[in-house]
Amino acid sequence: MWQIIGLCVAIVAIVLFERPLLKNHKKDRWIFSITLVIAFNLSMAQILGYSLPTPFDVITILFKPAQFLFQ
Amino acid sequence: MEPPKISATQFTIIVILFTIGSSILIIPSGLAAASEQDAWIAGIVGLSGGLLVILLFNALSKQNPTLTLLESCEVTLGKGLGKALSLIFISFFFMLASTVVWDLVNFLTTHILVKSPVEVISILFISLVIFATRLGLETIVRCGEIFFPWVIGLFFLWMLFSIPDVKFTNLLPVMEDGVKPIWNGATLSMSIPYLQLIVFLMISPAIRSKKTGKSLFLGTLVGGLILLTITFACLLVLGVNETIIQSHPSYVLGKKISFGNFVQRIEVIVAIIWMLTIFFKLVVLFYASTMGFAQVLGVKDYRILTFPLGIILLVLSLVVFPNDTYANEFASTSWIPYSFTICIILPLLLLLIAKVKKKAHKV
Repeated sequence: MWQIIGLCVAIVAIVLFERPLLKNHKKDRWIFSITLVIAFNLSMAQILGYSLPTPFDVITILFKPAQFLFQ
Repeated sequence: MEPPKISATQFTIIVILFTIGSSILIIPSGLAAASEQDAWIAGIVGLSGGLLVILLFNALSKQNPTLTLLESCEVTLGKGLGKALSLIFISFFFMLASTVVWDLVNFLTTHILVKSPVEVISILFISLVIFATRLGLETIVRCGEIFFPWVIGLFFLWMLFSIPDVKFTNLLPVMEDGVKPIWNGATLSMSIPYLQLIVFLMISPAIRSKKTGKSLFLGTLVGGLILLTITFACLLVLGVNETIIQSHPSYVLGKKISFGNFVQRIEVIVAIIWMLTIFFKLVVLFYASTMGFAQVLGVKDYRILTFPLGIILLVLSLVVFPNDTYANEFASTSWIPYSFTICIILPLLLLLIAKVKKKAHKV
């Protein structure tokens, strides 16, 4: 529970802290909000114990055929 | 924002710190696992291969000296394709950054802060990295200038104290299994520190003098020689088997040192070198991926991306390797073709296309 509260407090603090930089740029505001929402969702999933996939599984599948060159 | 300006010496120093960072504890074990007592030969071959790759990077940066890697992608390939390629490079930098955080946390929770939760260490370190990135490149390189003498001085102290324990018989027999194990080790040592230096193509336009290529080459050479010395020391003092078994052999080397029964247990010196250099490696990677992301999305001020990307980096570093075995397996198999594709094949293609384009314009 306290982890979720901590995360929400951190997100609010980040938004308040970045407000002066975001004042005059509409596009920046959008990109900031979207990336922050993605970050919030990812960390929420991590806190709630969903097992997130590692990106390296994809790379292993992609580069398996080329491995013999370096073995 | 004003573009940052750094000098050639500062650039060399940051390249050296980047090359040493995180490889200093890992590479002896990986090299020894791949090529046993010939790890030092593999290290030399890897260093020469790395220097050749640096020549390729220099040729690429000479095409558009005032543009970063991602900007020159867009100039060479056009807007759509260039942005797609830029995203591939950024994902490489970002995943590399997450593995660096994982390495650091893994080391600290294995050897020093055994009972601390992983998240706390990552959050503290990533906050520091975000802080440094927000202050900008000039601050980072000046900080590097301050810490560089400490890193080099402590390194020489460490190597000096390990001389009495050296046993040259540990290196025998030379080339027992032929060339194949050396090839394995050489590709591993190329992909772990040297190919990652492509990240400096993101920074090189910030250098005031014209000798960018020379300072990149020099920095790689010095950093590579330091890594080679450490591999040598681990093999000579610990022997092959213990170097393979330990996940951080250099740290164990620091523990073993007993200089005249008086100077003992200097492993904290090793930990200090590691912490300082890994900080610079992580900052450079994070700075490059934030800057790159800002360029691709057309953000005016890259600083607004530091906090969101920092949180994503935190989560990624927690999930990136489920365990030690996965990490070792991945680093010695799939990581090598992956980094060869990103850092050799793609830059070669870019260079070729740029050259062909220039010729077509002339005719």
